[in-house]
Amino acid sequence: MEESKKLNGKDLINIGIYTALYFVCVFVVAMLGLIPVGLLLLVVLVPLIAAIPFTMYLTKVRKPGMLFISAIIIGVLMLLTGMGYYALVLSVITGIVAELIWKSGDYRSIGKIAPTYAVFNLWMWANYLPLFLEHDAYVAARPDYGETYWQALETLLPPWMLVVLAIACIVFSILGALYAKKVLAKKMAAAGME
Amino acid sequence: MVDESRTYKMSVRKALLDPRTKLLLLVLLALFCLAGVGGAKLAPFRACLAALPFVLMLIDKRTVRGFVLLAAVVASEAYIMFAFTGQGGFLEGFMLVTTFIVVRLAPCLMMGSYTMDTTSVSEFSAAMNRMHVPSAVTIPFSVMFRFFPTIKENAANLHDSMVMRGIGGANLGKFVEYRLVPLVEVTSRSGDELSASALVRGLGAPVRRTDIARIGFGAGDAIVMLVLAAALAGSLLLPWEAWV
Amino acid sequence: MIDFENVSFAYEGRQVESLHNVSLSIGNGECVLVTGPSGCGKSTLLRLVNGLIPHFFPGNLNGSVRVGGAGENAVQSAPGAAAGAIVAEGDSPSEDADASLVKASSSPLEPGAVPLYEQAELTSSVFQNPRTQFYTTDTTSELAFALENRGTPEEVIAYHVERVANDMHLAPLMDRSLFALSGGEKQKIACACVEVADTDIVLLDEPTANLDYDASLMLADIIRSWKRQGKTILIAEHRIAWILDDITRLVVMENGSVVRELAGDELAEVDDEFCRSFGLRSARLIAPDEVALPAFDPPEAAERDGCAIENLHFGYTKDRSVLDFDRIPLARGKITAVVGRNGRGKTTFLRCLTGLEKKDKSVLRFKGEVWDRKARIKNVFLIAQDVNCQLFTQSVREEVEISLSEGKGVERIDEVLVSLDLSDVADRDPFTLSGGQKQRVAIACAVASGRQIVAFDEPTSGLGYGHMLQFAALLKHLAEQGRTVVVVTHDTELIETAADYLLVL
Repeated sequence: MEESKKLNGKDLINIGIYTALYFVCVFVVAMLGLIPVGLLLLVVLVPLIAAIPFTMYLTKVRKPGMLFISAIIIGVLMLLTGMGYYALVLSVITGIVAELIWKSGDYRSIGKIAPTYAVFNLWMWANYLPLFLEHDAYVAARPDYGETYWQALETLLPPWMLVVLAIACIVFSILGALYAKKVLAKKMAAAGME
Repeated sequence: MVDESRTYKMSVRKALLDPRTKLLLLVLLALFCLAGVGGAKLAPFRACLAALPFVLMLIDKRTVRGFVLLAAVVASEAYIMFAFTGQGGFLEGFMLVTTFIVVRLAPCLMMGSYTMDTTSVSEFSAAMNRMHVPSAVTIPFSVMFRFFPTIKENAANLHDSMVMRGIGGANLGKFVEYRLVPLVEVTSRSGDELSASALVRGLGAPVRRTDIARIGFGAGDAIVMLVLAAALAGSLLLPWEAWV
Repeated sequence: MIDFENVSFAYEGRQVESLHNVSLSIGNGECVLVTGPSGCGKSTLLRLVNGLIPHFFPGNLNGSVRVGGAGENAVQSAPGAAAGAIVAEGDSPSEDADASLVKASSSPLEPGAVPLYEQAELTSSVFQNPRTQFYTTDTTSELAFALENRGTPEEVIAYHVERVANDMHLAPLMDRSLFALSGGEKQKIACACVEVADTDIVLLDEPTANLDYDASLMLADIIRSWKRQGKTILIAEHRIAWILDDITRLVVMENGSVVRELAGDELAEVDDEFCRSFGLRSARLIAPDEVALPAFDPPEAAERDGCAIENLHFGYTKDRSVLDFDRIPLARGKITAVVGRNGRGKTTFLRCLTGLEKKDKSVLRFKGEVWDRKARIKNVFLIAQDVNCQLFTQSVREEVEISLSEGKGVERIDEVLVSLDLSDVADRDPFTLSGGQKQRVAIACAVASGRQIVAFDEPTSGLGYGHMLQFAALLKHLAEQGRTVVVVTHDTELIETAADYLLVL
């Protein structure tokens, strides 16, 4: 039987399951993230751990749309849990780009796992935006905090840190994907990836 | 002893707020409290908005978590206003970042926690249905929530086996492998069985799905909207700065 | 109602045909039990009726399957579903030679030719695993699910959910989280879903594999009520005793073919001799706690280097103990079957015995040693009901290797693999093995660990007669090596075949 390119019920359920598995990794780390320093570790730990479920997800992704829907769902979840709408906006973009990269490898290229994964993970970075950007608006909103406070904060959380975090996210995603590729070699071969 | 002869009547009680109202509040909180849109002029509106999740938690009897978060906010505010000296050092830097994150994220997180606690999966997918979100998104979304408890169960079972067999993992790499690979495999297997059972019950039919979840706008939603509208109008129109 | 005509089927990627030239005709209102050893094709038969083959399990299908009554209104029952909407229309993707034949006769439909959601208005299915067949998270939504998918108006759904909840006495289960229900209760909800969908045909695929004795009887009750309503019922099962009195026909399959069909008075011929000759499970319905086996009751003097659990008082809530025993002697080097009715704490007993229950204060005396909870974790090996949750590595050899007791060399791995007939699959990923092989891998780990006590939780649920005998032989082998074997089970035949003592909780 020729498989259609349209997502069927089984695909939609797979999206749900693997997104849940991926999100559980995020959630476990986010629990550590309640300690604020841990929040900065989000881009280090999640890409390392979630690489295994994500790579196993990719062995099932053979049609366009699955990664995009996963990305959107994660964005909606961020909104629902109170992390703002930034991740949702960014995940629309990263979702599409991740789709395109994975498609360029005909949905079975082992070499495309790392770039797909790195781009997909970038939604995480959006969670930092409110901490580093739009300070001006926030400063204006809370004049009672005082000048020294804002200066001290500026030195601790300088905007260029955002660049560092984005790079960290990509680097650790690639490391995570390399690890997953090593661990899952057998399963990827069984799934017909090359 | 449970009374098996009891007649069952489907509940018609609706939640205090429609899921769509909760979504709107989440967006408003992100806009005004997280991003600080509107600047100093909207301070009373912002305060009102930030207090709303706490009030909602009180009304819905979720007081413990509400008070914990509120205490964190009050303590952080107090630290920034009174204890912060600006001298620097590791401890102060740590406290500064901590309190900043708490003050900035707490109202949003509180609303998030309220939304997740008070909205059932079926209510949420009903709300998405009515907002005309395609089923390609609503189906995976509800499956995801259906699977969180399953993943937890599977993880607990795997953990027990691991303890029983004395497998700690010789190194970190093996540890992560032994924890995660079986979890994904077992969960994915449950997923295949679920797919079969859902498909033979007609999931994916090209008709507009109906939904038994009771949602819809009611008095609670109206009150929240009125309060927010009044606060917004008051902040913009009244010369409140002079009164402080 | 259901017609198979010269049906052969091979799953995609498999050389062997799972069904070979099967012809079978099931009339309106019949209750048919299809049985036979694992892999005989009984589940495949059901999947052809509900359309999972070829839509979910693709493969090579020959012959014709027709479902639905000739001229009868197949979907009159479901309000909101357009009656008669199901006809095998021209857009069928099927290229089988006999597709034209189906189109010619307008009423019955060929499951392969219509999408699953159309088939869903004609057939309902109950599956083996109560844990995985739920789509929603609470009972009420679950009951409504099939009708929601059909787009039935909310008021009509509410009417049917309430009707079924009351007919089936489900009030105490309604509006509850599905995750908090027992296996039997979940299966009851699955049956209620069938009732709400109200289709003429009901398919049950190994419905009792994960149920205990009492829950199986409850299921038989529900099936009887469906029979009274005139539904056509098709059951695929290893176990036959629980439903034998209520079926109208018994179909025995072997290697993809029907080898025997018994109907009406012939069903009286089904006795243990008949079952043995076809390798079937027993036809006698005996509660596991009524098996004639002694309890282990050694004289006090012989106890000094024996084995016993002492001071087992355990409950999840303060005021109610599930288990309340001062002393339970266990026969060392023997096989003890642990049985008990619903809610008597069989699984809790195992968790306490293996030291997994953190608040348990009991101790285990073994050959003069006293093991507390933590010591038991290191000395008792538990093989859980879901073996999938027990395998961690990606090769059978590695799985055994990480279980090896200290000081044993790698040559021990091969010894163990050979003794359990696993040498051929030593490098395979355990997850790709069959259920029986996985179970043997788990036993191999137990053997390699060198632990003296091995406990099993419902090891033969879903095993046919042949596999059950093989498993019983394995148990005896473990005991002969001097291991103390404890088996929690509701499998009367396994107890009769293998156990030395019975422990009733």
